[in-house]
Amino acid sequence: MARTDLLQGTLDPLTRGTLSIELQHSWRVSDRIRQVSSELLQIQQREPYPASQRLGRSGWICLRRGVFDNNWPAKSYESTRIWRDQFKEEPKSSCALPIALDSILDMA
Amino acid sequence: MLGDLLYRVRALFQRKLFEDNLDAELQFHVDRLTEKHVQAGLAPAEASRRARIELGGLEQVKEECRQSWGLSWIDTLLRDSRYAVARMSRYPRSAVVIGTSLALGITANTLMFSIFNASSNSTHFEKTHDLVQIYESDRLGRRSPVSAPNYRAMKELQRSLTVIAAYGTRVFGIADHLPQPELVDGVLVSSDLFQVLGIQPILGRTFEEDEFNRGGPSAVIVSHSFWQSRLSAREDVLGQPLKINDNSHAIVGVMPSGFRFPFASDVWLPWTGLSEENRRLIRNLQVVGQLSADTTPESVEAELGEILVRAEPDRSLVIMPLIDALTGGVRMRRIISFLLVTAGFLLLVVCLNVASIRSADFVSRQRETATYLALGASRSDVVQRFLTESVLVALAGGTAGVIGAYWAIRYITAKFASDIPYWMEIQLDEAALSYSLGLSVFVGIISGLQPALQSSRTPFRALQESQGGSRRTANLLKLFVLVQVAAAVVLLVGTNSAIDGLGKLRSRDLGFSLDETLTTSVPLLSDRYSSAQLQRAAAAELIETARAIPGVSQVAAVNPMPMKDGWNTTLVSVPDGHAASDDTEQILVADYRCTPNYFSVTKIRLLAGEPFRETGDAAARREAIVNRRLARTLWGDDPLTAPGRSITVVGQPYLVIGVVEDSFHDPRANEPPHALYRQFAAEPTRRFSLLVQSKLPTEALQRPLAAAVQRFDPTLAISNLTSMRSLFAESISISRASTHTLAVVSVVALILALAGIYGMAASLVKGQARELAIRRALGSSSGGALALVLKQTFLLTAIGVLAGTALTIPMLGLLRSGFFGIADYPVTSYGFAWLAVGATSLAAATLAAYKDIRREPVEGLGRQGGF
Repeated sequence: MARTDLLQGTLDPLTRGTLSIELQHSWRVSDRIRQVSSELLQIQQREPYPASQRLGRSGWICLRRGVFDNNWPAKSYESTRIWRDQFKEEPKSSCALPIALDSILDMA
Repeated sequence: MLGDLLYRVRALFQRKLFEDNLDAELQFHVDRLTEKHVQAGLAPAEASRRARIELGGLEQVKEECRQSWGLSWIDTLLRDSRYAVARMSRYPRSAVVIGTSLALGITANTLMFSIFNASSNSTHFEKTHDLVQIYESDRLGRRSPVSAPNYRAMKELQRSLTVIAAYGTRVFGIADHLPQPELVDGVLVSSDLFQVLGIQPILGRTFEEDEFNRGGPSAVIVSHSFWQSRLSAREDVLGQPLKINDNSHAIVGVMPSGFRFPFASDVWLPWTGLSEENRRLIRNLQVVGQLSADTTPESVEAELGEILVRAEPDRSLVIMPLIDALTGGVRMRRIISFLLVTAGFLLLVVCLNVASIRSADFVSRQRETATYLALGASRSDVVQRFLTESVLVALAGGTAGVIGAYWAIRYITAKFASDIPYWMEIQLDEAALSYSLGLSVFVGIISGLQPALQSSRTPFRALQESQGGSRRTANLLKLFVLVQVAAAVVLLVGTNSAIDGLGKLRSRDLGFSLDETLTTSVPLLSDRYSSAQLQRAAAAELIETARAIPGVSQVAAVNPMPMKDGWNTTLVSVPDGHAASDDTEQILVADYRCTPNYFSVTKIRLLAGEPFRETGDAAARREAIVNRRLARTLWGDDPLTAPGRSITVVGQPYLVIGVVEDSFHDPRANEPPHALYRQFAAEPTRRFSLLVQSKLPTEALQRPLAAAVQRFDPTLAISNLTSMRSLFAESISISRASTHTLAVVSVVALILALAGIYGMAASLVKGQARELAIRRALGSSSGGALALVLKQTFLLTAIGVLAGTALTIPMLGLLRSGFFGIADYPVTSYGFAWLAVGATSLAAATLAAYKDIRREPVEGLGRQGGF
């Protein structure tokens, strides 16, 4: 399958989703996205960092001191209550893109 | 939203923590990646290098992350501020000059704004802008208070006001709780007055209905300061008796601190018998009302006017905002507005001055700017940096200005305490502070914008131009100077005219002498002086006791006292029909009662006939003396024919026995009033003033006079003895204060305009340095160069002066409405302003040019522009 450039506005939800599933550190987010999307989505290693800062600013995630990856001490992210509440109600609300895409493609 | 704000605040104040976290996070990434590469078999150094490349520049990633914190504008601002501060501390001179001129401008404007604000809005009334004062007016438009029958008619029939009430100011003598009886200002109020003003006592209650009936319980409400100073602020004063004019009144309330309505009142009493008063010609009710939500002042005027016309066909109605009525009418408001406009002019001069200094300053930095631009900064970066600097200096100047205004307000409120009404609180409140803050930022942006735009054009052009700046900059600088010169001319002409007017007012012939005469008012308030007979006897005895004091040569009595008391008016007509001029049958005249020696004490000249006689029964004779103006109005051009003629005063016949020279009642009036004098002994009044002629100073006479009065009647209170000179000074104190303010503002503006001219001349010389240097190298004298600069300056100043002179015409019109004695064509003022501005600007230019010309020509060539 050919590689797809990341669409505008999708980085934050992708980062968020990846962090929420299992990983609590930005460092493997880019690898993880690539793996999960079967190499379809290519993002650079640096890109999750500003995204996680933005998520922090919106109050979705916050930093906690913890132990990580074979006992490496590091601060890691954990999702906040705001996130959990929002996620329960509208699982995909933060990514309006698929809906927009669908509606445009439906017009054709 | 709130979360976002909190996050930003945290990012701002916990910057270190945020940075550390980011560092740790990225370092963790690099370490893990390095570890991965090492495990794959790379050498540690190579692994680390590879990891960094893959991540893509640590600093760039950090910068991207920092942008997500939403602090980039603060960062830029802080960076620009640091730069500005560094620059200012390196070149403090221009920053100090700019800051100082801004401080002066902001001081003047904040002060004027505070005064204007205090005079147009008062926290003492609940709804300042809904309160109106209602006057009657006759066919000639002369305003007077309202008569009781007319007030009752309005109160019953009107619908457009929610409440209407009346009051009248009086003086009361209070002897209780005091070592010596004292006079206090007080007010008689109708039932709804406090409701109109929206005020409630802090202790006790307002008046009840039966307290307004004649014979009902006597009640009084006292002011907070009276309660504190005389009644020791006791909580149990309610119901206690207070003896006012010998009558006992029960204290029913204490007003809140600061409430002194209408001026400096200490007691408020119910106006008894208002419902039975039927005399139409006694117009002594100050009527106030509150507009209801859906009415306009015009509709109130129409409705009440109709009611008034039905009651008295030849009267009409005038209403004005209560606050204007209390400020002393429109005149005071005009003076204050005029001073606010003047301060605005000063600010304009300040702005232009700052802009031209900035312009020169920024232009001299063009190389730096060009380098900055060439390195990739955008134009908006440069403009932002310059504006930050400009606004910072403006804020510093503004802070100094606010401090200056604070002291100026303290000075003014202390110096003019007695002239400032109680409800006018001149203070640096939030409105004044935000006004000056806004003004500072505005001035900072306005004065920095043009120079910033100018110096941030493309680097190529900036580097190409000479150091003196482009032709456009030079032209702009000239325009600035031109406007400053014009503004300085306007302010100087205005000030000179006002000072001239004040001089005229000071040396004005008031028609009476101010020297060696002292005065005190004596109200015979106690009930023991209720009949005319008793008042006459008391006055005669008081005059006699006062004359017995050593050093006193003569004592006269008069009511009302010119310059001090308000008007007493009455209506005069001639028995045989119409007066010679004036289209009314009855003439409204100032009505004086005086003792026969009043004219000799005041040195009012007798023009014809004879003075009053001391002997015989004055009441039986019905004699009157008129002034020149009244005689002329009644009998035409020759006033000397008046003695022997008869007049009618409100229906009573009088014989005119003499004509005296005109004299003023209010020193600031345009012309003396029509005046009628009657003998005090014939028709005494309860209130009068003693005029004591003596060479002794006030302090020497105060004590013996008070003692003499005490001996005569221990319960009688009199006011402090004042010299006629200080009475006069007091009556013109507002004119004096406003003229002095105007003068200070103008001088500051002139100095700033001169600084502008100096700067312009200096930059003119700088711009032409090469040309001048070549000329001099070729043998022309330095005089030629000087002449060149002077010629340009002269031309510029001349245009500025002409423009300013044209602007003085509307300004003088404005000035005339508030200030006394402004000439129609103030030739000397123009001469003075032209000379002052012309001479000083040429001097400033010479100074600037001379400094430059003294240098060697080679220096001038060497200094010149390019790379």
